Amino acid sequence: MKTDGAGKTRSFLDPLVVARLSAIPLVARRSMLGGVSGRHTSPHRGSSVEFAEYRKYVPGDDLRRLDWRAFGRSDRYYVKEFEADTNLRCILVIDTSGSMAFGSVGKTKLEYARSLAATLGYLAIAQGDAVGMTCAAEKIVREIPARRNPSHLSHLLDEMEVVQAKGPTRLPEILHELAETVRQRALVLVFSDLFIEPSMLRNCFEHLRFRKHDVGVFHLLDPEELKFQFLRPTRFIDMEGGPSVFVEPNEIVDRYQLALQDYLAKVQKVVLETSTDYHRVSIDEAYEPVLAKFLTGRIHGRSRR
Amino acid sequence: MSFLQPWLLLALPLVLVPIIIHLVNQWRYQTKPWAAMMFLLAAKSMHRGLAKLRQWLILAMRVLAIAGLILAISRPLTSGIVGLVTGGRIDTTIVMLDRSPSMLQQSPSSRESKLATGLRQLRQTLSTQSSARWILIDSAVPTSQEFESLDALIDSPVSLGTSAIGIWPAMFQSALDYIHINRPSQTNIWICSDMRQGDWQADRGPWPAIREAFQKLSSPVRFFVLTYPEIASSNYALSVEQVRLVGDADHYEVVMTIRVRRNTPNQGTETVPVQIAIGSGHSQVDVDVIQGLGELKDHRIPIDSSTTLGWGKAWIPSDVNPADNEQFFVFNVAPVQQTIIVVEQPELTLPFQIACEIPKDASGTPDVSVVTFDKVSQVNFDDASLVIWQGALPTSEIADQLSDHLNRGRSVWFLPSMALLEDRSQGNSDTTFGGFRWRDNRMLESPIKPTTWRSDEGLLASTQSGMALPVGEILVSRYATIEGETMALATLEGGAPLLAKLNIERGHAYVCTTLPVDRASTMATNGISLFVAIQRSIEQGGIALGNAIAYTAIPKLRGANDRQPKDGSRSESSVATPTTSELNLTAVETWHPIAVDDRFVSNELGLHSGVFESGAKLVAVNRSPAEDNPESLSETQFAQLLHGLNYVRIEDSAGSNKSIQQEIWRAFLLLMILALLLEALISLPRKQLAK
Repeated sequence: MKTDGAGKTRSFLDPLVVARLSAIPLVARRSMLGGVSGRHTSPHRGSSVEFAEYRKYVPGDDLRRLDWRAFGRSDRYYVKEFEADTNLRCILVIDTSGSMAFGSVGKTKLEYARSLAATLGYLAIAQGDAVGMTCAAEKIVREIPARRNPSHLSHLLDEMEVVQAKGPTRLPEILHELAETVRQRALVLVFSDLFIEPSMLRNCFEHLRFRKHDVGVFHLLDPEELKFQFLRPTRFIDMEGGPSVFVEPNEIVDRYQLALQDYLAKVQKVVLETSTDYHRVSIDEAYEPVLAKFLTGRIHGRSRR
Repeated sequence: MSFLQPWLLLALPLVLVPIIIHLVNQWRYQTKPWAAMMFLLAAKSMHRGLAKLRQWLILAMRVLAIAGLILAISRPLTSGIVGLVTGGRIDTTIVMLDRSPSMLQQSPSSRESKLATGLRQLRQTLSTQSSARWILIDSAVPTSQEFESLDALIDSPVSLGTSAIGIWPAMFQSALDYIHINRPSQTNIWICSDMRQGDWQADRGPWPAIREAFQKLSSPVRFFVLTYPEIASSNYALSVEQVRLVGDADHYEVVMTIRVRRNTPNQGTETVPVQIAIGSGHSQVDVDVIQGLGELKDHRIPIDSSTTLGWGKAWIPSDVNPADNEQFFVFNVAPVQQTIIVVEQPELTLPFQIACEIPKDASGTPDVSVVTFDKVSQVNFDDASLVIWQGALPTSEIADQLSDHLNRGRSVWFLPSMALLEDRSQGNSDTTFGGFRWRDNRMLESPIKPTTWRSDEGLLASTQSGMALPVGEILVSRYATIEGETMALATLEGGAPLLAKLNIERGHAYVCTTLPVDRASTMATNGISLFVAIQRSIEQGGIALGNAIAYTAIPKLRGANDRQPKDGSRSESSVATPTTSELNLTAVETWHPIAVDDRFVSNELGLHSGVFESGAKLVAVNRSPAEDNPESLSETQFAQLLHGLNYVRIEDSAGSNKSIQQEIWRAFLLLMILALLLEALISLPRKQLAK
């Protein structure tokens, strides 16, 4: 049974998977700035039960926060501060360019991205975080601002369902735009095949990092793209409208693999240098383990108070 | 290249299958929407390196594998260069076969002769080729003979060895004539020979004309020369010469000179036992061979006094060439030896006449006729053993008669005219005979003597007791000078010849440069030398008379019996041939064989050694002495002979089992396996890259 919270059936959302994954919280790797109290660390001091630090009293401080016990021991005035907990804003950036319509295993990369994004959105809203969505192709195809009320989830899923992959990609420009428009300290999750020059990706990720966003990337690749095993001469038609290419696969496979490995190595270097939470996914894998790995990985890498 | 299963070559177009599959594959391409174009574009922009070459190599290996398989099952035959240039259907194949005695030299191990080896090789090689016509031109019968098939040609009796010398220019001329008449579209000429100098006549003969004629042919002619130049060093050749019967009615002896020649000079002395059989008698004599040559002069064998005409056979132990181990000879009582003296004035040659008239032994009184120039046309030279010609050299018909006289093995002396000795203006005559002419005279105030003369052999040789002739006592005050190729037997002070022998092939022709008159010399008063020389000359010429005739086997040349027409005019033969008097081949057909190998067909009797009966005469036929000369044509000499012609030379040896053509299907099978392995190796995925 694949339904959202409103009871509507979604082909790309499996409640069982959501149920299993709901035991693992979606956490940010760095402090977030939320509008309400939540389960993520905030850069500000708050009133939670978790002790943060002692600070010297300065005139103007609320006397109620003065630690009298510390005064009794040291004859000095200290203010006892506690950590603040807040919610986060999660922006789901889905690449809807033509290349995302490719899939040789019964589903396209876009469908796979839908499953990932929908599940994560569900989990985030369920734990009180605000979730927004941006569909990026040649331009921003759809944009939904982040909200945290459960009814927003239905709207989000509806939009996800109708979006289609077509046109060329301008993901780098859109990511730069998002870096500027989304308020600081958000969780930005990118679902894309990243057929972009690694140097351009580096700029995007550095820009997002500069704006203190926590960036996660799901790099979706089809197994056919990874192996490139064809027997007959083939005319490859660019799904993003570029020129077609006629090749003898046996003749070019070596060089294709060279180019692919070179690209993947560069991407790997970029994500390491920009502290991006990078996950390369072959879309013939089940998406549940991918998400489980993503969520648990973030628990280990969450920010310390 | 030729094939045992050539029809399987029809499958050769199958080599195109990999190419066709490749092209079809290219044509039947699929169209696929593709997302990861950036990798494809990056891959295409990379340097291809060996990738493209790899594809072509794979395709080439597949083509090679199929070609190798088809060629292997077609059972190809090859022989190096021969294999490359032969092949296809030939219009005419001419086999030129050397059947001379030297081709019967055997391999020491297999005892197979050069001729048998050559025929075997030809059968093996040519059986794989198809030819519309098979022509044989052999050295014994150098005219073209057509056969129905190769086997008929090889198995014909004419492919047996003979005693006749080969005349290769004549054989080439026959091949040329055949091509001119029949105009084949393509001709392959296979030559099988041991390349003996004597057979090929490289230094004479019309080779330039033959070469030019072949080059001018419109249809292509290719020569394949199968040579057997190997010389067996340990081979001995026996020859028996100057056989004659001497003695009186009570006691006869056969006198002969026996020569044993070794192919290469030996160290020290080797003794070769020579067996001689005459009638029922048999004897043996040892001949010492020193430096490759052994000679026993005037060996005497007593025979039954009742035998005045007979034959015999001499032989040496068997060696690698059985064809030169035996000789047949015939002998006869010396006939009445007639001498004809043709003179200007009878008194000028009176001492010669006296010397001729003195009988050498009691066998009879010599018959001497003296005629003057005006009656010379009435003279019959047929029965004369010696002709003494004093005066201007003969011309026209008389010259031809004297040439014929010489060709029959008889003797002629030429003496100068008195006018030439006394008047210089009589010299410088243009008339020549046998390559010499009278030139000038010398009139000396004080007479001179001969300073040197040949005392080892010839007319002025020392006597049997070893005493030298008193040639040096002769005084010469007038003598004539001569011009031409001669061999001096006695030389006067100053180097002018007193007595010289003409350089002719048959017969014995001498030139005496002075006259036995007081005004010219003291030859008459110091007459011992003159007498001995004249007697020896009569004896030389007399050997050719009588009922015992020795011939040298010669090839059956086209028109050989017409070469000296009765009208006396010289025929123009395009090739150098032996003189006709060696053997009258027309007469051979009437011969009755007495001692001859019965394997030989009757129409080839004159080509094989043996003894024959021709009416009242006995005829001994032996191989030519030229066959005993082991010198072969070098590669350079041969290349010069066929310069400008398309030929392939293949060197082989007697008894060789190495075939000229061999099956090489294994090589093609190996090629196929190699191609498949290489194809697999090149097609292997590159694991390192995949990782």
